[in-house]
Amino acid sequence: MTSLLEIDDLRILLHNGAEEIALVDGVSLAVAPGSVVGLAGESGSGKTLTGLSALGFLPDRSRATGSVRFDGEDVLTMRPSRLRHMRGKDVAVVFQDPMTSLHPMLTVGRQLTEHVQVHLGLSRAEAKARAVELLHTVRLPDPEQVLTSFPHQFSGGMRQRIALASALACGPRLLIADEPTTALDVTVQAGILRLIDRLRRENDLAVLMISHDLGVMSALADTLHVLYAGRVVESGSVGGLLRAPRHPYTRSLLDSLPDPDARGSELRVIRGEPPPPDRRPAGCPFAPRCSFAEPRCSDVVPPLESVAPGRLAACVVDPFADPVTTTTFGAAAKPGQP
Amino acid sequence: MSLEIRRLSVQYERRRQPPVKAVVDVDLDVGAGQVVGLVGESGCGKSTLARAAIGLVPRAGGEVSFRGQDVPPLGNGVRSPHLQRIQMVFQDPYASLNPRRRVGHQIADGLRGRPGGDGARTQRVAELLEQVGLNRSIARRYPFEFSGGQRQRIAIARALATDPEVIIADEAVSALDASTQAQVANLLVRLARERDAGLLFISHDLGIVRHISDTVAVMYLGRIVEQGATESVWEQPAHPYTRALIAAVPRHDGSRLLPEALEGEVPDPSRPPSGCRFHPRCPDRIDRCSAESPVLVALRPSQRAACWVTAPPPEQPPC
Repeated sequence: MTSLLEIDDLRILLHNGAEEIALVDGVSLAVAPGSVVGLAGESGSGKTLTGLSALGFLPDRSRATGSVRFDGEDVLTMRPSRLRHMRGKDVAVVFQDPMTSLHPMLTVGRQLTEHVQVHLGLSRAEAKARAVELLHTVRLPDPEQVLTSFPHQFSGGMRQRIALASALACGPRLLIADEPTTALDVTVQAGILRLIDRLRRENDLAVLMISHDLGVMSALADTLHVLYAGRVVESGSVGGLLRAPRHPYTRSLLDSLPDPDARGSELRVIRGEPPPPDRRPAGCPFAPRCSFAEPRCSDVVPPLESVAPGRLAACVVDPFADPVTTTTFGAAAKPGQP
Repeated sequence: MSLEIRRLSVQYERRRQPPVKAVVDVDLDVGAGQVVGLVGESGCGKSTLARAAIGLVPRAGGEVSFRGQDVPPLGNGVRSPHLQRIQMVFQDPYASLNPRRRVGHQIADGLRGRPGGDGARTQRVAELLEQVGLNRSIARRYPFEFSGGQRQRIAIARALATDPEVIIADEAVSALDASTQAQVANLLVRLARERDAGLLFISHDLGIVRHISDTVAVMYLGRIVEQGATESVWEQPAHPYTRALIAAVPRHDGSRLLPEALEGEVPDPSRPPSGCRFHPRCPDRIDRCSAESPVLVALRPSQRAACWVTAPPPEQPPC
């Protein structure tokens, strides 16, 4: 299937005095209609910047190289009027905090009808009918009542459903979901994940899912890209990648999650913290925190290479190349110093 | 028990509206060296319970005692010194530290009134910083110079300054990144065990609570619906709400299973449903559930649940 969104060797460079800092450093990915592609990583890894580049948004004082193509057109060089049209209609976004995309002083009805009138040219009555239909789609009870209410009258989960309804209003082909369930309780999160899954199946929606939560990725994503310090360190199909990660960072992220079989023991941790963009080490950015690092790791940045069918990883040591060694990892990596 | 909470109720009064009963008839104990997890959806009263336990909000009924002495709500007077031995770590380390005071000074606040001069205090602050895994030299720096995880360590060092017997951690790791979360959770548990202090660990993250807690309490709309040994509650959850919570946690094993959603919303706590507060969302409800509020019934020595269906009370023998 051809991809709707194709990001190729994207670099986002921030001007900082005389030098430039690479916030995103050579990220490539593709999202096809009806599929969910996950971007996982900790804060500062560049996952949100990568996601927002699909809408043509870049941070202040920065420039981008590489290409971001939506349906064949390069978003980075798009005319402002075309960009505005694309943002309103073809590509939609939902954020972690639904209040960032909902206006606190306008009724939900106004917010759900305004842009469909602008972008789809609907009359007020048609727009209202469309809004009711959208609220049904996101399973909000009593749509008529919802339309005359204000965002503050709803719970976090209901607000995120309203934000999703608003994002879906003009029938987008691509949804950028930036930590859409992080602020929500697990019970509510489950409902939103099921909703996004239904939309991609029924509407053939392409979804770029940004989350630090590997559980969310495991439930929803088809393909996963793991970001660390602005680079993709591993990518592949979600099932294979989470069952047998090849990059030590992916492995230690999974290991730091609570393990039901190891209850009562200390949680395994990755020692240290990710480096800030202006202090990234030479060579592999994960090397200073990696239990498998060798002297050569700090010489050159490891290239993202094919390590198995459908799997890319950027690690010169590749300690999990033999599937047998993955089972002994626990013994090799003692809980690090906090 | 270090901290004993008995039939605690907290209610927020509102003008011209019914009061919000945020916590209703809660019993909870935190023993020395014990990690007690408290879970539930947002708005269920977890934080209110924590605040009432340390006296930050007035209670509407019930008792809170710490080492056998009453914990009175915070007033204008000087707090009794014995209450310094119960400390709290808050969710947001950006809000809980004073941005304009040096880290060392903020930690030293807890050392006031202790014997020893400035030199001894400086020495103690340095020790506390090292115990939470920070360099002693940072005492002269300000909070903005640190990441979220480091700030939370500073907040923990400050809590440790009074040599607490009970630490209440209210979503203390929720705002942190995955790798930092594990570090800070480990630190809290290790410190509690080393000092034989009790830890009340409040979180909406069931995975982490399951991993670190000895016992767990599940709260729904102000009431504890199930509590017991963590193992037992997780292996054999009795309350339908506990089951729904566990089923909603996504698995990170690459199995591609969508988690189960719990239908409906948490009701308005000022107008809670009649009978069992969970009944409108409960898949197992029977007629009795909307009429009478169930009480916690022991299912096995290590587990109690409040549910007419899955934990029916034993028949009363006729007198």
